[in-house]
Amino acid sequence: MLKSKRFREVSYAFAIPALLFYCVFFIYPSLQSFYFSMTDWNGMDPHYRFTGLDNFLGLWNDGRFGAAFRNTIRYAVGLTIGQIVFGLLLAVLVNRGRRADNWFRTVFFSPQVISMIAIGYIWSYILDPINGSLNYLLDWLGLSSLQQDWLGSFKLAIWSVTGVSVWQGAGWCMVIFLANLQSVPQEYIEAASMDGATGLQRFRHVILPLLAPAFTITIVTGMIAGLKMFDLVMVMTKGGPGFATESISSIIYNTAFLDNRFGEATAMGIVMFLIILVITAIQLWALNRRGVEA
Amino acid sequence: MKKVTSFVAALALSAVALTACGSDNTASNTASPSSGGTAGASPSASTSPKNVALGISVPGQDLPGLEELAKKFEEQNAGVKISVARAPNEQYEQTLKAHLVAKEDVPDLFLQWPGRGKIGVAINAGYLADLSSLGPVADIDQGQLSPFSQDGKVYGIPWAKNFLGVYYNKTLFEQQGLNVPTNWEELLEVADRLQSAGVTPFAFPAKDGSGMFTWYALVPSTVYAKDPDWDQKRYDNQVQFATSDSWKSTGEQLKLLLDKGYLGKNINGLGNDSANALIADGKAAMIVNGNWAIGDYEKLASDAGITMGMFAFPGNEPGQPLWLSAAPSTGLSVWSGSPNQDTAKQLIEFLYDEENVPALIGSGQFSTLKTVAMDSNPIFADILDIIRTGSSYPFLDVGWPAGPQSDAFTKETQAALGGASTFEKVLEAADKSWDKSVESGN
Repeated sequence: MLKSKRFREVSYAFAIPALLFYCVFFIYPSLQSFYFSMTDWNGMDPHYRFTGLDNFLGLWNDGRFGAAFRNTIRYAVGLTIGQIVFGLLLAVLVNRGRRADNWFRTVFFSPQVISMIAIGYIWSYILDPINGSLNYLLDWLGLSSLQQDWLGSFKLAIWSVTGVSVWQGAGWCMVIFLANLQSVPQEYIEAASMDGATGLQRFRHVILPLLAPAFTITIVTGMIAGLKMFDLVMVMTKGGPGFATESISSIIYNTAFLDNRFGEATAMGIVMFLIILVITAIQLWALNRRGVEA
Repeated sequence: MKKVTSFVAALALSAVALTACGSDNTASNTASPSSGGTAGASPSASTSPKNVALGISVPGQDLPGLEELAKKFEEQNAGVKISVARAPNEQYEQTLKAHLVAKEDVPDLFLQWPGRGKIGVAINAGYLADLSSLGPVADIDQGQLSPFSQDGKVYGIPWAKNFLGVYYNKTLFEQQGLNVPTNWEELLEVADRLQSAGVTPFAFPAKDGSGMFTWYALVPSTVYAKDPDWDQKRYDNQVQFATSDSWKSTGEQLKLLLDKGYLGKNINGLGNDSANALIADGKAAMIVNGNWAIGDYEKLASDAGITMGMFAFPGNEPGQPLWLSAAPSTGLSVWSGSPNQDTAKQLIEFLYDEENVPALIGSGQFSTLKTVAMDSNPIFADILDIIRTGSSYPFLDVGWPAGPQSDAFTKETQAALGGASTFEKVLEAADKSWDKSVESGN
């Protein structure tokens, strides 16, 4: 007993170097940002004033921040639902024991390994209203009435960007669902078939409930990725037209680096941190409970 | 006892690890030539001109001849080593900011963008050395220097004049029998004739900031030719964007171009590349852009087999003067904390020497030095007169606090162009953004 206690003390002591690193390079700067969020620092000048909660209160009345906040929620919900629906669909499609399954898995997963910046550029060209291949394709199919200004329309732009992020994320979800699907015991499915369940019923009542762990992972990570949406927005629309595709991250960048208002940008960063924290905590709590019940 | 020793051992270990990391930094500071300005440089370097390591940072393709001339300077000055680092604009700006704030790894010389929201911030923070006494300063127009100056002292020396105007398909103009417009009515007439010939008058990539460029290009004639002190009055709160007739009528001019269909369709989704493709295909005839983009239009013209030209955006009513939107390029500054300031200043005088300037700034650029006349690109033939002798007003971000350019004249303008806002609201947004920025000391 005594021996194991001493062992534990020694092992804790060996965690100190790592802990010190963590504190110096992560905890300290993070705490510092709380301080900067209450100043009017412009990012350069060592002379700045302490302004208390002004930066935070200003965000309430800031139309830009409000728009960015609403957009961010749309990105998060759209990305999460979109990539789960498509990911699940793809997972089921490539889990049928066909010879081509592996090839399709690779193809569907491939957008995941391309850099977001490259994806953004490629899709900007595809979605270009005049020379873009999507509008060209629609025209060629005789569907020119469906041609749109995909990234320039106030209503559509945000969903175009979300669509691209779904295109990128669905393959990843597919892998998660696939792993989970393959762990579903065949006995359950056979038993259900013997009881006369149709394919759809088997999927709905046997397989889907057993996919709860995969749902938990994809929902949480999808929400976090959506809430942090930045690179696609910067590459594809720079937040435009107007503020139609601005996310909290992109507006933080603009406020800090274009408008020289680092204090205000840091305050936005803290608000974003709190939002992600709360949403993720609620999700984990709800999904864990459901997972246990299932 | 064991507990204590293990604790001490672990602490020592972590201390070693952390100092290793620290010494690593300083080692790289002194070793890397780009860090000649850090306090870690040997004291002898600051006193004797021998063995000086100078670091220069520049964004993008600015000062294209810098590397060549730096070598020449090294040959003439034994013991001086110069290293030039280039980075894309945004990356350059942010890295430099971070280094300046941390006072670590700061290059001895670097380029700064003109204006209050750019170099002005660095001047106020005390990061820049006074360059007023240097030779080239006397040979540069006050108008070019003032965006780099404060309280009569010069902190950055611009190397070229930049300007905004309208690039146009000269071949198409000639086919249609059109002349270069010199006032607003002539522009509308040209646009109307082009439209009835089935050509969209303007390619307008609003996605990449064409809206902002057009504001920049219009207001020298429509606002500042009538009231050159407008900005100062705005700082003094005597005037506002939303209540100024000149700004309101400029907004109406933009609205007219939009409503008549002169700007084309789907402009908020249109990027620079596609807009240029419209010009190359002869589907559109004019595009607002700056002299820095001349390479694109030279290539476009030769690929498409057309002739391109450029004229100043005629926002002026007939009989009123046409003013050009022009501003100095980036300017070379010296870090106030550099131990090699004397050598750095010598290098500036060398670079801005009349003989070296043409190589330094590259072809097609207009030197800031009054003593240097350069061969101009044929594309600039129509705009040359107004550049050399005409009146101009700087780009709006030069005299303004940071904010309105992006908030109002880019973002809200996109909204107005897309029908989700109005040009009156653009001006209201400009007032709001201006006040906010000035309040926070920018």
